[in-house]
Amino acid sequence: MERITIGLKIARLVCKQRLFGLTPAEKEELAAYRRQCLPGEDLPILSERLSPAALSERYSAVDTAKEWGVFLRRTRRRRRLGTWTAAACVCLLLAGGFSIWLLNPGKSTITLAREDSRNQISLVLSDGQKIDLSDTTSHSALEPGATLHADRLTYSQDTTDEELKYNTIIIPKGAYYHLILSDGTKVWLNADSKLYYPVHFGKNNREVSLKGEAYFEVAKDTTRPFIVSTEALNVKVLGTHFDVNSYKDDGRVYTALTEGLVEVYNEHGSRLLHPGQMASVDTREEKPSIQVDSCDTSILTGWRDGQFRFRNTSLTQILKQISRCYDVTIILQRDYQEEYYSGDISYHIPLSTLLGAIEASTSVHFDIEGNTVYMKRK
Amino acid sequence: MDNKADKDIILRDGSRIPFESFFKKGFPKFFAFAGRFLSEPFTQEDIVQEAYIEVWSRRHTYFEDEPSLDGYMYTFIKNKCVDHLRHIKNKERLSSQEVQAKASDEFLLQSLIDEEARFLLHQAVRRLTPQCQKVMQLHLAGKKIKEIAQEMGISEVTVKFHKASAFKQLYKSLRPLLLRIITMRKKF
Repeated sequence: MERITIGLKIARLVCKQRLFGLTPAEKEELAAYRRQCLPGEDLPILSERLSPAALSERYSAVDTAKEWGVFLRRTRRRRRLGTWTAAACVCLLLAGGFSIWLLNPGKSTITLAREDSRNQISLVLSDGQKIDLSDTTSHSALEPGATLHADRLTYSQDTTDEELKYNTIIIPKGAYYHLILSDGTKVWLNADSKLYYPVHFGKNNREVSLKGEAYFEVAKDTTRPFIVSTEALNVKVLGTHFDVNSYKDDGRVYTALTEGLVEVYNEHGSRLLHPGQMASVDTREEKPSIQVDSCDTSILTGWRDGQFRFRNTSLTQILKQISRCYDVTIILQRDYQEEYYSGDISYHIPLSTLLGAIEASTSVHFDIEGNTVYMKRK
Repeated sequence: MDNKADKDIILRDGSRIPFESFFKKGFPKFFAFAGRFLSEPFTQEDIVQEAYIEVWSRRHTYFEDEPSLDGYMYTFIKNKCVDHLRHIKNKERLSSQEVQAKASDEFLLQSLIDEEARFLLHQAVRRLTPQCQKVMQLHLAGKKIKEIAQEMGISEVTVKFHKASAFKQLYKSLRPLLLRIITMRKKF
C-alpha cells in the first residue's frame, strides 16, 4: 500500500509540473519519490502532448448518473440479503421433477407448479414422520436444536459426538425456502428441490445430498470439508463461494463458482473450479466426464434475487424455469422452432405479464387456460 | 441508506466524505483505469461497481485518509482485472507473459500515476473559460508564448493575460490538492 500512496503523490506533483512547473524543492521530492517507487522507469505523462478535449473524451466514456443508479440498486439488494458471510457459496441446481418431451412426436408438455395452490413445504424427520413447515405449530415435532421461523428453518447446536440423524426438506413447485444448517451454512432452496442433510454434522466431513437447485453459503471449517452430492456430480468446498447447477431434464448437471475454490468430482474424474467458471457433465453419456467453462454466475444465480435472467437462452429452457416457478403446464405447438431470448424479469410479476414480455420480442404467442399454457406461433 | 449521515465515508480522523460525490467524481477515472487492463466496457463497469461496493461496506473508519481510499480502489480494481484476464486467457489467446506483465506492481504503479495525473489535469482544465482552455491546451502541448500567439492569432500580451488568468483559476481549483502536497511532504 505504501508504494501506492507514493504513486498518488507522484501523480499530484506531475500534475503541478505540467501546469505550473515545480519549485526546486518539489523537483527534488518528485525525483526521490520516483527512485523509491519506480526506479529507472519513464513517466510518459511528463512529456506527452496533452489536449483538454482528449482528456474530456477519456472521462466521458461512462454515464456516471446511470452507474450511480446501478450502485444504489446493488447495495439495496445486498442489504435485503443481509450480511451473511461465509467461506463458500454454492448454487446447486439439480434435476427436478419437471418433464419435457420435445423429442416426442405430437404435443410436448412442460409440467409446472400451480399458481393458486398453497405450496406446502415439508420436512421428513429422522423417524420418518412428515411435517408441514408452513404450519408454525408443527414446531414441537422438530429435532432438538431446530427452530422454525416464518420463512426459514435453522439448526443451531452443532455437536459432533452423536450418531448422525438425517432430515429431508422438500420444496414444491412455485415455492422457495431458506435453511440454516447446524454449522452455520446457509442454503437457499429453489422450487421443486429436495435436500437431505444431517441434523448435526459428523467429525470428518459435512455432507448433504441435493435434488433440484440450491445456493449454498458454506460456513468456514477447515477441518471438515463440505460436500454436496448430486446424482451426477459432487462438489467439495475448499473455502470459497460457488454455484452448482444440474438439470436432469436437460441431460446436464452443472456447478458454477462465484468465489473461492471448489473441487468437483464424479466417478470418472475430478476438476478444480475457479471463480467465474462452471463445471458440467452430460448425464446422457455413458461415462459422463466433467467439462469446465467460464460463465456469468450472476445470471445462473438470478433466482436468488427473485430475477429470471436470460442471456440468449432457449425458449424451452425459459419455459422450464417458468413452469417451475409458477406451477403451470406448458404445451408447445408441434412444429415449434427453437428461439432464443435475453432479458431480466422479476419473479414476482403475474404469469400473464411475464409471458406478455416474452411474446413481445419473440414470434410466439401464449394462451393461458387455468393451469395450462398453450404456446403457438404468432 | 435512508439516513443521510450514514451515506458518508468516515475517515480515521473523523472527517467525512459524502459517498455519492466520491462515487460520481471517481467513476470515470476508475473506469478508464480498468480500461488499461481490459477492453470490455461491461466488465470494467462491473469491476468498478464492485470496488465501490467494497468501499461502501467499509465506509466507517476503515480508511485512514483519502489517498488510502483511492489506493484501495486502484488495488482492488487491478486485482479483479488481472483475475478476469486469467479467466479469459485461454479463450482470448492471451499469452501468459501479457497477463503476467499486467499483473506486475510496475504496471500498476505506472498506470495509477498516469491515470491519476491525467484525471487531475482534466479536473483542473475543464473548469477554465474556452479562451483560457485553448491557451492551456497549447501550453500543455509544450508551446511557448510566442508560438501560442501565432497559432491563435492574438498578441503575446493577450496570451500572457489568458495564461495568467488560467493559472489563477487553476490555482484556485487545485489549491486543496497543492496544499495536500505540502502537508504530505511534512510527514516525511
